[in-house]
Amino acid sequence: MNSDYKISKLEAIFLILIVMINKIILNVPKSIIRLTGTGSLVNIIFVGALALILVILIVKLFKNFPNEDIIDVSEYIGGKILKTIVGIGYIILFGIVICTVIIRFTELLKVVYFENSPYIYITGFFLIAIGFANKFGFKSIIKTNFIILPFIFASIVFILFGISNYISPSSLYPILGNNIKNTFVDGISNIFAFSGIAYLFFTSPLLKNKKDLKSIGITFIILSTLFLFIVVGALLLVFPFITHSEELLSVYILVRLVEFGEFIQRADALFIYLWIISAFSYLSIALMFILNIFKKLTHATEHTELSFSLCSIILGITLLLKDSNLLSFIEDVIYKYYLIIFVFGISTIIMLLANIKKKFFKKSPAPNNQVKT
Amino acid sequence: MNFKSFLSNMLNYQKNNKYNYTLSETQVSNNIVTEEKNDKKVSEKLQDNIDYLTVKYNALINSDINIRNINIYAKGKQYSGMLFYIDGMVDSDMVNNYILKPLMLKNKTNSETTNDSMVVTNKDDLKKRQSNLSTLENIIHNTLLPQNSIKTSDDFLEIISCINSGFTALFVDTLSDCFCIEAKGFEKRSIEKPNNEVVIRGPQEAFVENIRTNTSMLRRIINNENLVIEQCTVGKITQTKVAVCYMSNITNEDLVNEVKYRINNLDIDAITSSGNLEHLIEDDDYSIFPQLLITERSDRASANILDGRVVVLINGAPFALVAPAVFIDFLSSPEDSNLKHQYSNLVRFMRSIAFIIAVFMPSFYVAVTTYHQELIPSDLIFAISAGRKAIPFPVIFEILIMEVSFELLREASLRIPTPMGSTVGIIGGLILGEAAVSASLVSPLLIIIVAITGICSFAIPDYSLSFALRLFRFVYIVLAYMAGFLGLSLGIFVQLISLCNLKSFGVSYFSPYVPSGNKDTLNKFYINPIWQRNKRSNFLNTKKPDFEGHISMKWKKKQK
Repeated sequence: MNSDYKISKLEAIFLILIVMINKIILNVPKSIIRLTGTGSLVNIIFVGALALILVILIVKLFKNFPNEDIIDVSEYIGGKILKTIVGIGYIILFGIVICTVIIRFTELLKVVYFENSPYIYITGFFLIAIGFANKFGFKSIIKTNFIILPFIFASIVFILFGISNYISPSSLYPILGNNIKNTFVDGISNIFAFSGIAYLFFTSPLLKNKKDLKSIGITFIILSTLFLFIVVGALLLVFPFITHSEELLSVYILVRLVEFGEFIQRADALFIYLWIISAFSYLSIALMFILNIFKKLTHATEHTELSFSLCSIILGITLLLKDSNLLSFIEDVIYKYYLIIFVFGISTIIMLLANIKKKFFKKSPAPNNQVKT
Repeated sequence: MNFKSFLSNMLNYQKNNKYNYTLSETQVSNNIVTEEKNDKKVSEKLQDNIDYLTVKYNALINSDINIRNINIYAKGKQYSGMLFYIDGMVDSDMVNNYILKPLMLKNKTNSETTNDSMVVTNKDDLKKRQSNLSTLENIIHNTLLPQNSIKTSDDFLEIISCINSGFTALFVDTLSDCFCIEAKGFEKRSIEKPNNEVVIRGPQEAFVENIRTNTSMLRRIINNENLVIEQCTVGKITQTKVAVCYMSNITNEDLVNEVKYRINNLDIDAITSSGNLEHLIEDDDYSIFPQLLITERSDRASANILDGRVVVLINGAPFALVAPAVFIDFLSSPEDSNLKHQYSNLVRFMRSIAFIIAVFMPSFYVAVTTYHQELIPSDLIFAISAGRKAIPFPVIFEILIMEVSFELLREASLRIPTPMGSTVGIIGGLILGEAAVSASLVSPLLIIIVAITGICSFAIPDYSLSFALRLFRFVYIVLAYMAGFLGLSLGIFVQLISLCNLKSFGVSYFSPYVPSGNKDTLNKFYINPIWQRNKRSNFLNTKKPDFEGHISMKWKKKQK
């Protein structure tokens, strides 16, 4: 980032965790259950272990490039062409994230509270929030995320306690799901739930202490696995037929079961309120990374103008993609496999190649020493 | 109109009753006053000095400027002299008895003609030697003026500055120096009880307008030689004295330098209050939230100095500015440190609740009644609906009527003389509210909501913060009406982001929480017992991080 502000270990963990929490609030648990059924719990542990191995590998690969992100490393091995390709690849990835999250929340809000409001009206609130957030800059976004995340985390834990009356242990069986192949082979694609790993490729230069990257990655995977396990477990225990549910958000289905006594009739609005703030934070972070990559590719300097321009483009795309079936296809197929292939595959290979280049061509200058034209 | 009156109108003088004066808005070139370089020195000719000061002070039209021509007896001779002072700024008795009498009346000291004087150089031996009392200047300075504070200067800039602050200037013919004699004697307010930061168990002393009295109050409390009080002046016209106070062995030097840098780099004609200076030196001038703590209590200012902060005092202002200030400071009361930590935590918790209610309650009401009715139990929603049945306005209009009325009442009660102010508040609140409900302008529940919001806003200890909350309340009401909780989320998120961006003298506004710092201090939501507050605020990066020993209550350990 074009900032002198360096983030602490805890801030970095929170930065990546907000991605995970938003994925949980949105449809990731339902997608996992849809694919692996009752074997989802075993599948989560399995993909969690795989993600852990991947994270350890990425951290090891970044050891030789403590002050560089994946864009700098791409330039190191493939020059400006690879840098541009990888940069655009990540812009598309974060762009899909922003669009899908905005559309999902807009759909939910339109159905539940704003039946008569135009689509653009609701979307506008999201874009104003993330536009302003990026106007204030990287440091403010990180700090705000640091404040918000504990509340979001607490809200989900609260819901899990609130639904304890509805748990039916028999819903978990068969614990290995439909079959072993489905749980362990087909289910590998559920590793997309750990999409926060994509942000790890950009985290190293932001850290105060570069050695923290390893503990950040491991803590993120452990917490994410645990959290995903609990939420998917809760969904399985409460709703045996969750895959057929037409509800928009996974956790929203749970919150509607929670009873708050006499004073509050239904508290789902309060939770949605918290999750919207969480989504603002998540979207701001994604836009912040897009801006950072864009600025690296184009040497643009006008941060605020760029931020609001990108918001306008995103608004246009969200209006184009608001068809529910198209969105499900993007989320379940395009995003899922794009993430797996591009982030977990190509980016890791780029890192591997960069390490090989550094090892065998030691005379080759480090990315930061290259003359930028 | 007849012919006679027509002629009368034509020929008689008609008095023009309209007084038509308009101040020209365009700048006339000869009206522009340019800053003249004032480097004039005192002349040996007395008349030149008199003429210069007469012109400079417009003494011919200025009623309070006194020029007293005198004859001075010194070394057995008579010299012409002149006293120049501002009436009302000096003590007349002091001028008469300790300046005029010794100079004008003949006595043994001023009749001495020899250059030699008797000085004691040894306890047992009194001998005569050539002393340095030989010149006229030294004789006046050392023997004829029995004053503790005399400045000698030949620079008119300095002399004028002294005269403006209450000194009496003495010019003597043949001398190219002026004696500025401190004989201040203007009326000033004595130290009184604080009006805005009332505490029950703490000291009952508040700052006054006189800067020297205020610095002495800090000295008396801190009682340590490491307290530094640096003085500078701000304002090209007013030359207002500003004191920067800090502990040399505690406070971060960078912080002190930054405060001094900002104060010394102000290009302004005048500052007349602490508020002026506050707005000129704060980090973000567009932020609505206060970035400097303002206190009228000397004990609070001293506690902040001892914590490693810098306190700025301004002559003429009974308030001190404390830099830097973080969000939690504005929710703290000076009473917090006087109470047991359990009580302090309870009141802090209540203040935090009050803060949330004061900002969000009206907007929450708007959001719930407009978009999220499912939150409210059925019985209550029926009651609200019944209450609003006769109201012809939408809820936003209803709440804005009440909020604006409340703000007007608050403003009006400030302007009305004190005995009537509270009456207006009560009458306005009760009668207007009751009448508004009876007239079906607002619902009864809304009166309760506005009243609770008002009470909670008064629970905020800091005046500036409560202003910010009042302003944001309106923003949140509009956002809630626009999109319910979505609008509120947007408001909260943008506000959080902007506050996270805010800094007070380089310190993050949400310190010590974001970024996370040590929590063993007083500056946080939960206060530890006094024996656990062993650290100074780490965001201040002080020279001495420990506030107390690891075990502060050593007597307990010794007993074991």
